[in-house]
Amino acid sequence: MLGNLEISASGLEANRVWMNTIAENIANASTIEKDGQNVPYRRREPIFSVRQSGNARAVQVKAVVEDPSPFRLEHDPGHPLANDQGKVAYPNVLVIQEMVDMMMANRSYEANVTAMEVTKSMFSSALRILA
Amino acid sequence: MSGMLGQIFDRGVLAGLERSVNFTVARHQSLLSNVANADTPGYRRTDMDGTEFRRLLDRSYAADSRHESSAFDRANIGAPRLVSGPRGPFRFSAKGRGPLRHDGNDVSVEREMAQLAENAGQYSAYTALLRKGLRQVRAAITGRPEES
Amino acid sequence: MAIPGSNSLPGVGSTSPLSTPGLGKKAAAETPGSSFADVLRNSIREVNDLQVTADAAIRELTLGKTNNVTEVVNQVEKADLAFRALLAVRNKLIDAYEEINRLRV
Repeated sequence: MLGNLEISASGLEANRVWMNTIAENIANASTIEKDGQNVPYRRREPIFSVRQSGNARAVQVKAVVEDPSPFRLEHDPGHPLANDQGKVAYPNVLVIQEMVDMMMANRSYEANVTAMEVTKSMFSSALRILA
Repeated sequence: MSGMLGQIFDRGVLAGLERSVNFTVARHQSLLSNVANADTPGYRRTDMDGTEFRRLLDRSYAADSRHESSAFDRANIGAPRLVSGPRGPFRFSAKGRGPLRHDGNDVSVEREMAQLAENAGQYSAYTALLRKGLRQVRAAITGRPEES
Repeated sequence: MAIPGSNSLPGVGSTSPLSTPGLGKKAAAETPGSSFADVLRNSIREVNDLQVTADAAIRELTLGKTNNVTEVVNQVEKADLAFRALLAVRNKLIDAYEEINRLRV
């Protein structure tokens, strides 16, 4: 029974990492400069994988990787960071998409919280046999 | 268990309730795993086959009334405890898979939560009834009807 | 769970008239077919029936043939109370028997 709390806890942790990553993406959605160069922030996302132990399948974040999709180019010749073609590169972050992901991560987090509560109440029921 | 204790605990409703409790406990673990992996790419939900379990339970009750050993006993070597491992006959069936998403995951969190709640409700009912039955045995043993 | 040994309660097998012979005969004449022994036997049978019903209800619940937990719980509680009542009566009977045995006649 107590190993079950571990399964839900892994879900909480994985989703927390996900939410932190999303928050970082949103915070840096307009970061286009580093050391005076046009170096846009590159979107990051966690890779979830199963962590199996006996019949229990917990979840873990195997890694947080960078999104390889191309940067967004905007035509802005007057911009100080514009290149020869007058384009400025922006992060490959779509804030709308990040918000949707944030809702998903939050929902999954809450689901694991509820699941943990169910486990705890079952444990109490078991102990009540003795009471 | 043998002899007198076996008569009380390994037969009839007390055994049936204990087996049912063990089943809901094992199923709970599957459902928790599904919830934790709701967003894991390639993850397929697992569950346990209640229909198969109940079929065996039904035959076990029938065997009890004929004073035979039950299908459970033959599968689990004696005590009415569900083998909660890969050897268990209804472990992690592949049924009940929902729609498959683009990341290879087929978990519907809402459905899992509903199953989790229903399963936990059954667990509560079975443990309460088990408690009642054990209290009654205790009253019979001590001869004290007021003990609860 | 049927109740074993229901025929072995002391003094139940026959109606023994108490100290006053006349009173005993009169009592026996007034209630011909319904001795205390019969009442007790009926109670035991009823408790057993309730237990059988409750057990059947529990089996149905575990087999998924019903999900009316309230009904099952009611049956179980009734059977349990009846059993405990009978147990209390049995205890009183034994106490009374032992007390009578202690009387110096």
